[in-house]
Amino acid sequence: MRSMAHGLPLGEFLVVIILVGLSLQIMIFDRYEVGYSPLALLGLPLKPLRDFAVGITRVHSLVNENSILRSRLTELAYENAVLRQSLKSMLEDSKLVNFAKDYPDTLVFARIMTYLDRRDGGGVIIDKGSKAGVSSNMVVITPAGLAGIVTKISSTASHVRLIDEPGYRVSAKIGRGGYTGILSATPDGRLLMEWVAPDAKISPGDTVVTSGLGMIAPEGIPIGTVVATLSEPEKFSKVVEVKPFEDLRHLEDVAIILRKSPDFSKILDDMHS
Amino acid sequence: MRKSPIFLFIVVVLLLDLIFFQKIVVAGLRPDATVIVLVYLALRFGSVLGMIFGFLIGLASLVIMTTALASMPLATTVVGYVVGKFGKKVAYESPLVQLAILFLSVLLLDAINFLWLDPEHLVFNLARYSMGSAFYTGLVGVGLAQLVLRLTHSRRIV
Repeated sequence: MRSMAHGLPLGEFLVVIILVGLSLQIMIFDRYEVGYSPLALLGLPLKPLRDFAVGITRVHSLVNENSILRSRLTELAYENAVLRQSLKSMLEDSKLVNFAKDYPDTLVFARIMTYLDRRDGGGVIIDKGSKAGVSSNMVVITPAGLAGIVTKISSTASHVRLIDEPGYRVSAKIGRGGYTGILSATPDGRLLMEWVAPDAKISPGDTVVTSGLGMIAPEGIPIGTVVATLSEPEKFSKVVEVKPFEDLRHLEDVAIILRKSPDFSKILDDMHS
Repeated sequence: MRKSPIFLFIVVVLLLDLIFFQKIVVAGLRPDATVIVLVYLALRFGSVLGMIFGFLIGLASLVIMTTALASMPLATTVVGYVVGKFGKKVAYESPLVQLAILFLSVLLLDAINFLWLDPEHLVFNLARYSMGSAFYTGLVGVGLAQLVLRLTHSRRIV
């Protein structure tokens, strides 16, 4: 028997419909928080396999880290700079501790385990997950400024999309005049701030910070400095190119702001009532 | 059913993926074991089983790997179906044709994933990140298939 619509055998047609339907359901479920996703239930029997895979990732990460450390140690031995290195790391630690003291929100510090290939979605994997209180949409920063946002979490690791990757958008403002716009990245990693008022007085070197208008990233986190300004008369707005403060391709330690983004559906309900 | 070393080949690919593929990363490109396994299974068993294998492989990668994209089951299902359906209409036993099938399969898989991840820059992403990986995956897949054929003295892998 053949299906009427596609000229496929009926059995084959049914399998196509079922599997494509299930796949689309999975894509919809992916929008849930990890704890509430049906995929999490599906994954329970496969937890040992998942742990095994995470273990392999950790082993690869440790092997890489080990080889880097070994080469560094050799250099240090030749230069007799072990003490300088210790001093540097102490200063780094104290810088992070001071940063955490000064910062108004609670921070969780995490290490970068690996950078992901763009074919795997890009971003980085950090070694803190839901056990440390991390959840999706939390903002990731460094002492220099904004680094990215948590997109996926497991119990012991999280995926972070960096600000220089397409798909990430944040509401930003240019420090001196407070001109707001939307910051996003081009495919080649440049940061562009769009929808800036056409009469905005902006000059290279001006500081760009988060505006807090998107309600996900708190206001005032440094992002970078203005490099150049382009006018877009057809959009009645300016486009500003921004150079990030942080070298996002060589991150080692980051901090996650433990502040959940607001529940927009609840806010809308409150407004209606 | 005719004898073919397909399952031995798949075990070899998966083992190599686990212990060796990390070490043969060239200019950031890495052979995609998922696609190699899926393409040869689909060529061997046809569109329906290819599709089912594809879905299971995509689902497994999603459930096991924290980093896999949610579009992976759909992408692998489509690749399994398309390869199973149309792969057998071409001279798929030729290594060159296998190379072409692997190349196109990686592009199709990535196209679906990029459509989900970043549809605005689909063409750019495919050109920049997928072409090299697709060609590299094709070379590694065909090379391993030929190696397994030599070792098992078989005539065909699928």
